[in-house]
Amino acid sequence: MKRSLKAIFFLSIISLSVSAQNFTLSGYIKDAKSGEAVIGTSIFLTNTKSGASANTYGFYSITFKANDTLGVVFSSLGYQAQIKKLSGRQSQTLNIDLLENSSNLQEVVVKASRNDDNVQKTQMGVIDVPMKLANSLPVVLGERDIMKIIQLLPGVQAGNEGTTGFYVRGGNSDQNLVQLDEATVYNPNHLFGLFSTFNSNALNRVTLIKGGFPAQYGGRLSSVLDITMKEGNNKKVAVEGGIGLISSNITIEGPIKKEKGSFIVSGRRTYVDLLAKPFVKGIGYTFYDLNAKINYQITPKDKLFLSGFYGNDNANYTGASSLNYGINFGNSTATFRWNHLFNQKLFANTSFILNNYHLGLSTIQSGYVAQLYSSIKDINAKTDFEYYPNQNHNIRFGVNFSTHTFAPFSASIKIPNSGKIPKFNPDSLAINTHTNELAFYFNDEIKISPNFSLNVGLRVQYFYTKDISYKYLEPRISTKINLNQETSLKLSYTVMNQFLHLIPNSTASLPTDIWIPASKITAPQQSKQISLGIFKNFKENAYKTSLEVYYKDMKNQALFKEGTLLTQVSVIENNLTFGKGYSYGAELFIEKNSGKFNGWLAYTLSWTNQTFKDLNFGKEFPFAYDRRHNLSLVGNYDLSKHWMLSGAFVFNTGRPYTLPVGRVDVGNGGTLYNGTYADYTERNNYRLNNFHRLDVSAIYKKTRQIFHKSYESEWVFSIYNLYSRRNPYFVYLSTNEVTKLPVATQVSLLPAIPSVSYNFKF
Amino acid sequence: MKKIIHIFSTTLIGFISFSCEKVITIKEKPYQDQLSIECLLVPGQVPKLFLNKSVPYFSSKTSSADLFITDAIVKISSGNETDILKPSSERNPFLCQEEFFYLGKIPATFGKTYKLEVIYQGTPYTAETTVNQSKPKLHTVDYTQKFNDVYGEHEGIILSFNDTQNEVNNYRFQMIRQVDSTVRTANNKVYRTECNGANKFTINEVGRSVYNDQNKNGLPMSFVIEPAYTHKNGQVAKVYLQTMDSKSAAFFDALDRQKLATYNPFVEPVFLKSLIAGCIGVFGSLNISEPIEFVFPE
Repeated sequence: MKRSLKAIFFLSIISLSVSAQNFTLSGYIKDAKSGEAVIGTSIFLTNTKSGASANTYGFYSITFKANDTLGVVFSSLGYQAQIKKLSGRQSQTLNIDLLENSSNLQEVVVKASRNDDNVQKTQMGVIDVPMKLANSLPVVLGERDIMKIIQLLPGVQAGNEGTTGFYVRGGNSDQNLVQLDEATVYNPNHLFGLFSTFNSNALNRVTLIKGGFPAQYGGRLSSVLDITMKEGNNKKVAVEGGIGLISSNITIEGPIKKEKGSFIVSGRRTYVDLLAKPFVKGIGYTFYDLNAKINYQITPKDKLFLSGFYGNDNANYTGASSLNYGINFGNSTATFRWNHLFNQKLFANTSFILNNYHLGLSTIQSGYVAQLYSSIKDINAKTDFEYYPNQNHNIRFGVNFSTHTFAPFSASIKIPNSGKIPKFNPDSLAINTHTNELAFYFNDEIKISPNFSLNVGLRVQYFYTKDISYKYLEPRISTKINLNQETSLKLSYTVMNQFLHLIPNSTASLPTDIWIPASKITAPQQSKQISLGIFKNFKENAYKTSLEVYYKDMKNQALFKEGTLLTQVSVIENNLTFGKGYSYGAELFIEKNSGKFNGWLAYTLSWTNQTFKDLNFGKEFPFAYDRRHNLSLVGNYDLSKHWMLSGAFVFNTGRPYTLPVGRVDVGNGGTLYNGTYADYTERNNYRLNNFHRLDVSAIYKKTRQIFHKSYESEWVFSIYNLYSRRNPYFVYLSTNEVTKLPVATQVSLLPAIPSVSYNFKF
Repeated sequence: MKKIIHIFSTTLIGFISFSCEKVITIKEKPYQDQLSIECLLVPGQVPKLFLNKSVPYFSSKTSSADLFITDAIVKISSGNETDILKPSSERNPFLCQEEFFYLGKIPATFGKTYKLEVIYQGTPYTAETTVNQSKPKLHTVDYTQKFNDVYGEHEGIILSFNDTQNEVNNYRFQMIRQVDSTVRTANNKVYRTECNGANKFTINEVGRSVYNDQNKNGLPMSFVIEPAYTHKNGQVAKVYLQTMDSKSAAFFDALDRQKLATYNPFVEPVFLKSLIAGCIGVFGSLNISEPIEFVFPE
């Protein structure tokens, strides 16, 4: 370990020392119409065949050796490329406004705008989710949802049907770090996971990282979903909205001071409660979410951002012959950021972040009311620096300190004779647990030669509470070898630690997830992942392909002990059992993102197994979301100026579940245990039937007039599960009380669901 | 455009359907059958031991006659005294079938330790238990028209009693009553009493849940039980309170949670850990209170 660190340091010094007498080009890249940062724009120097990318704020910096002239191409997916010729003998600042592509652009322009970051960048396991496609794909009840797109990417497994939960490379859902403007969102779901909390109208960019993590990211084992909110149109006031079958949304954005500052406010609320009220008794449900952001450039080198998010769900079910539950959960976040440009080569961002997550589950049982409550409050301060010393280095370093306050709470009280159900006040009853995390990181993307580059980093993690502390070094290494201009081979190795666990119930489909921090009893989760990939583009980057293989080893995984009844748990840690897991697989990705027809094919072949001393008699068993084959086919076709067609087909091997293999007759007859009980020999020994589904949508776009002003309108017609495949949701067993014969029943959830929604944009 | 919306609306109505359930056939995994032993010694009563073979889960063999092992040697001994149990049977009138078991001749005695030995196809299976549960005393039996639990809202029978002091107890409900052929199971209203004609017959209910006396030493306790069978207004029943040793209670509690896990998404599946090496089952002790007569109010 020490030897490798020395080697990294040595390489860095050599590489830095050879950079002298260079000039720098820097600036911001924005959308010409809205002024939004165009994150990830590729900046390519034609003289040196080298490039850079714009960061989360649209800033770029690229250093070059003196030349008479300098050719620069700025390109980003969905935008017209810009080609500039500049003097090559001075440092300069150049801000670029990129114009959006229209579908009938000349093909030559489209070709120029295609970037090849997937081949040229050292980092692997990264996918930028195409927001434009996200808005056209068919979804349940017409609700656009970025999280549903994530599920269609290679290496990502969906959770239960219709839900937005995702599982990356054999990791549990808690191993995904979901960040909205750097604030952690612990439960990014609405409506039992059918929709995510993210209103796609308010989002600028979504990036999924599933391996080869750069050192600035930490705290999760399996993936980072980095979501950046829009900043708001700084040129004119704009209104965007949508009316759907179960909810409506509206987004208002505009300048605070033209081209200096802007705001955006976006809200969504369901009316499913109002629609269902006349027909369904005993069920209540509401959700809503609100995003807001303002930004202001106080000097040419300083810019401030303040963003917030609030989302909440409230559901209750009171049945005369079934379960009695009430659930309330929600997230709120606030992020204050300060961008400062020290000089053309050094960019810094400092953030203060607050977030709050809570989940309350109440149930009535045997004349008692019980409440399970879990909340996490985080305060986070961080500073990140980006330093671009020369064209061979892209250095990032920073520090991050966060405190977490966990308030798990469980209580039960006998219901008084009056029948009035007592209320609990979790804030006064929960015992708070405080934990702290401090992390330092350094990351350098080093170009060793035109065909060989390294991305090396180290993250130092220190976690402490009043009882215990854990210290870890996390090396991150990625390498890239260009086999030719359109092909590269990449290899990465990462070590990750996670200081909190989400305890999932293997069979529960309700959001009963409980977060607990690492402690003396509960050790931090750890993973080591190695991945190898070949990346190749065809036809001038019109087709992008990759094949990645990976192996991931995971330690200190937690599950509930057998027979644990969630609502009767008082000390959660006493009901946990700890084990390990591993996952390996191959992921194929073929993407076409230009032209009238675009889309992708993603195929994953994977195996994930776990071993727990107290489960399955200590023998290895398949992970709950171990699916051998996972195929997604996504397509989008611009039929005409007004019509666009989309479709998505998914096929997954059925997920494992547990069934007994033997049956034992109960003595004493009667109805005790329905006359039989079960002999389980293996956990997750059966698989649900394979899952497959085709969703289609058609979008009709037209520019219309209202009060002599034009606006863009959009009708979205979609059918989820076109051929109404009765995909298995779960299987349950029952016993005929007279014949004692067991019966297996498969429950399917979502049949064909047509929907229509209307969107508008002023 | 209007035409398109019209077509789409018609399609929408045509397609709307609801989530569904269907009975499926499970392809069975290979299963090696096991011996199942169940015997709880009760002071003053002769030993009764259920000895069956387990079968593949979806096997059509369900009756006691199909599963009972007839050719085993079953011995229960204490000190120099050995009781050799013999195959026997009694009629289960609700299921209209014979139930088979091994029956001894020597009543169990409070305070004694007993050793069980079952020899089947040359393999011995052994276990040991001490009959040391004091006789519990049931104070009152009441009725509630409705109570809620994770299975929903039910009627319930409330047992109230004082925990036995300085003893680890695990309580369970038992009720015996005379019914006629109109009786049904409470949950699914099924019935198979055609063999009884107009005759009345006895049904014996044993509670599924076991209630531990942790932190209740000598204190009042109560629990509510949903009757397993339907009843009529004025029907008379004898209600008993059982108490069993902790190892047996753990076994029955695991069975309860296992059954609960099949219905309740909040409960993890339970793999049984046998108390008798080499087979599935339990050998323990039980004591039963004097009955309280209870009349169903509705």
